[in-house]
Amino acid sequence: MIAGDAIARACGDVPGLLRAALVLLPEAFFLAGHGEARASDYEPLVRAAARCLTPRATPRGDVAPAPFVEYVLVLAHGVIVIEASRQSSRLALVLECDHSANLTLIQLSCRAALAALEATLGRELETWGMAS
Amino acid sequence: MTPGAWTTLIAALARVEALPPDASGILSFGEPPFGAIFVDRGRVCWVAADGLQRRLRDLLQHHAAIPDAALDSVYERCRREGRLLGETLVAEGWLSTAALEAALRAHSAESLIVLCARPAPLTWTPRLAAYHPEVSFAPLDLLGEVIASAVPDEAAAAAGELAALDLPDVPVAVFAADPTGDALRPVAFRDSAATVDGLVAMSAWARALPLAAHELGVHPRMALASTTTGDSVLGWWRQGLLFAVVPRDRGQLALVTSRCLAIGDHP
Repeated sequence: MIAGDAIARACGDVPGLLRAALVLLPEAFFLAGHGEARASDYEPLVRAAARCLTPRATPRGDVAPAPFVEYVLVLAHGVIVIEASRQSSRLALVLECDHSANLTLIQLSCRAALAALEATLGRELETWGMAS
Repeated sequence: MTPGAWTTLIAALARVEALPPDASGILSFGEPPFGAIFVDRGRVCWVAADGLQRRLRDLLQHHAAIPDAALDSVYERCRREGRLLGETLVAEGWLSTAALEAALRAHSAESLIVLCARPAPLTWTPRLAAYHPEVSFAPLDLLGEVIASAVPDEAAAAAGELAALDLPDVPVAVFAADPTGDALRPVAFRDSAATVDGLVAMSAWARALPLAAHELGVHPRMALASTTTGDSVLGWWRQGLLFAVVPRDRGQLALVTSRCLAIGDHP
């Protein structure tokens, strides 16, 4: 399946979606996007994913270190969600939404979108050596 | 203090913190040493720096109701008999234990600032017998004292924001970004269980937020990060400082999120 079609389909239920980018880590390689005309327009989303999803330990001494898999940045005009794949440490989805839905709904729909992408593209990424 | 000095300070205090609870000895700065942290059973009991020997005498005199001549006399007697000046002043009624603690805390912070000003190797030399001082400090306490001494305006701004948030039971750390530094610099923290090492881990996480915001060209009002195990860290910006919270449970997370968003946009 074409990655662009897959991301458009997977993100179809994300409320207020403005744009989304599928990213390969740690190279910060843009795989596919939805909502922008040019690939270069996704670059800020791609680089932000690479910044946030660099492995970091949990900053709390009483729990076992665990990787961060989701960042939600609340802006004045919208929300940016950075989701790391739970199945492949190399895959991330970055979505920008407006404020038309509440945070929890946006979070849940973004997680569902990534899960749908994993299901759709997982085998293809594995074939190309892009899955961990 | 330069970013490098903060890095040295945090590394030295984290090293003391990582010692076994019964460890006593000296953490020396430089070769040959130009100063040292004296450790008594895992706590800092004294920080010595070349050039600051007279400074403790001044601080003690500031806190003690003692005339110059009498202080000189006690000082000389302590030198002859190998006794500690501060504890002798307490024993002879010139100084309260609380005032001694305040003077030693201030002196330790000033000494640490001097010691960390130049890069130097740290060397740990254990000692079998403990010092058994009257007063000693947790490494995190001294980090707080250095912050209050080195960046008082930032510390006051952070304290004001924390008071306005009115979340006394929520563990929180506040950071400032040094433009040339690779990590964030702690400005304030509040958590009875916090450690220097915990603050370092928190700053490593929080560093992602300004970096991501810079890449996106945006100024987030708030950011929330979650782990695979469901733990969350919440961050927000105010007065140029980054506030970071590790909520103990979902109730605290909801409370801090609503309080944070209610306060409004960051400047």
